[in-house]
Amino acid sequence: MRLNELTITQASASLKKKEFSVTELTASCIAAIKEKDSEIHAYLEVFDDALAHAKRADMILQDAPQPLSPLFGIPLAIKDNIFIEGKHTTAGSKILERYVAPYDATVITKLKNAGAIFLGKTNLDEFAMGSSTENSSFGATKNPHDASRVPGGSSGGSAAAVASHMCLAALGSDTGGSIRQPASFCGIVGFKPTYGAVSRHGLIAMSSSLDQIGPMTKSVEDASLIFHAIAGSDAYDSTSLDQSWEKKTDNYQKLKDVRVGVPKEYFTAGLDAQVKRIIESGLAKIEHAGARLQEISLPHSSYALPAYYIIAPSEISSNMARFDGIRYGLQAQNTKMLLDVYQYSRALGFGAEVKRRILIGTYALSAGYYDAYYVKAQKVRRLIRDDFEHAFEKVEFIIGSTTPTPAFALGERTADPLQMYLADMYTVAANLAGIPALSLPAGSTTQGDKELPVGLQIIANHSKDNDLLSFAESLISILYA
Amino acid sequence: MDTHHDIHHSADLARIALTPQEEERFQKELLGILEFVATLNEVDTSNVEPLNGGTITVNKMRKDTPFEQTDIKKDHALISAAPEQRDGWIKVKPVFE
Repeated sequence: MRLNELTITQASASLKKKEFSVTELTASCIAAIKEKDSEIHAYLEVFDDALAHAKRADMILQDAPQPLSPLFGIPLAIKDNIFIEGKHTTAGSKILERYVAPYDATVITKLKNAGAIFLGKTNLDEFAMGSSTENSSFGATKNPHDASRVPGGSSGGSAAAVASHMCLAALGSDTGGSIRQPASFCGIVGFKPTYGAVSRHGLIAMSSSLDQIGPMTKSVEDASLIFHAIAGSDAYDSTSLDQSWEKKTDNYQKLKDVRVGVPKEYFTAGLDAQVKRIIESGLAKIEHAGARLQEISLPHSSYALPAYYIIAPSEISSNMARFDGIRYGLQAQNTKMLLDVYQYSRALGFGAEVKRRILIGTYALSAGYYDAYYVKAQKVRRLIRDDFEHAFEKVEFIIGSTTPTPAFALGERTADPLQMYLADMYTVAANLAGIPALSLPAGSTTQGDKELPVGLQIIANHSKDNDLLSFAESLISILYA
Repeated sequence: MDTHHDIHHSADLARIALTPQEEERFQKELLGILEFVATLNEVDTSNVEPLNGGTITVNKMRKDTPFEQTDIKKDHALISAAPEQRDGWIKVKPVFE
């Protein structure tokens, strides 16, 4: 096994025993990038200082009796909407093509303190708006399992980088499924924590009431390691929660009598037959292991996507206002007046999906439509959250498919925005409710001569992130038994 | 509903210059999306309070204490991100003719 194929947990244990160096581990990831990324295009930028940081880490390691943290010396990839001071941060947009981050995101500060090594920045749909990474202004990322298919999105670069071992793990951001959906398409673990568990300071805001940063990894254990390294309250993000995320006990090492809800609304029309079979076979194994499955109802499920496509664009139209061609980024040339600078810089700098969402949001918030669209969507948002609250009175976890289909072909949905939006039909509800959810590889479907991964989504109640991770960890041995 | 007017007006408010082709395309797409989100009207929300935002925290305040900005490098980094600058200021085009 090559070093880049290790999980964080495996690599960390070996670094501790000095079986190889941080430099060797980092070099192995860089070699994988050189070998594969011209085809996959997971990275927008590969840092030329990663090896220098690795060498410095090796020197620290020489003097230290043991590695300082489980993430010490671990090479990671970072979605390119998260700031690393002094590095380009484009958010996949022409409007920020030459923008250099002036400070570290809080998650980056925390990972730096833990001794992680940053390999580079990964591709994404422009400003994280999309479900296939095809909306990137710098070219689409390909699915490592089948290069004619999308990796999902918006964190498609991070998912593809992890799946093809061009890093040990990555950070993504999830506003409506942008961590879990690409994790499902690429066959890795993707975890969206509780809203407020991880600071968004230094994450380029898309929809501030929904955005959350989280890990994309090769194992649940690794997701837990990264989550605990980046979680916690932050004075720079007033929505971050003042509570401890420290893992106290592993509550779900055994599955006996764990109450699992299976929403009937997640198994209706739109769910691919092969995907359905894999999820149902996974559920049968979970039940066989002693968990108590029960059918539940989340009656407003089908309204999650329409509510999302009012709320998200509304917040987008407001957050995107800062890209004015004045303070940073691209500025239109040959303009006379300030208004021209605004209108033409934004016209030149934004891609079609960003413009589309800004227009929908502006429309939904404008005089005369505000109550009919925005307030209505917020009311439905409360009903969706209430659905989960009622369900969690009866069950500890909710399980369904992460996505309705496996990875679709490049170009298949780019002409029809509504078709693209459907890829997130099972993931947006957790964002609207602010609750944690994780996608776990559950199997794969065969399409021609390719095996396409299918992800199983586990949703837990607010703040039950550690229980969710513990439960997911226990499922691994059962699903692959 | 006059979506042509609405797209034009929204683009104006959003400060985006659209080409006529874009206007036509977005107008068609906006209609489709509005039709899709109109399913929300099937839901009876007469006694439901809107859920504003995703957070459960309320009015998180910080102390309003003055401090001296000693890290001039940070200020400089913010200003130097602007496309047009002069003498440490951000330069803009005229607002009025």
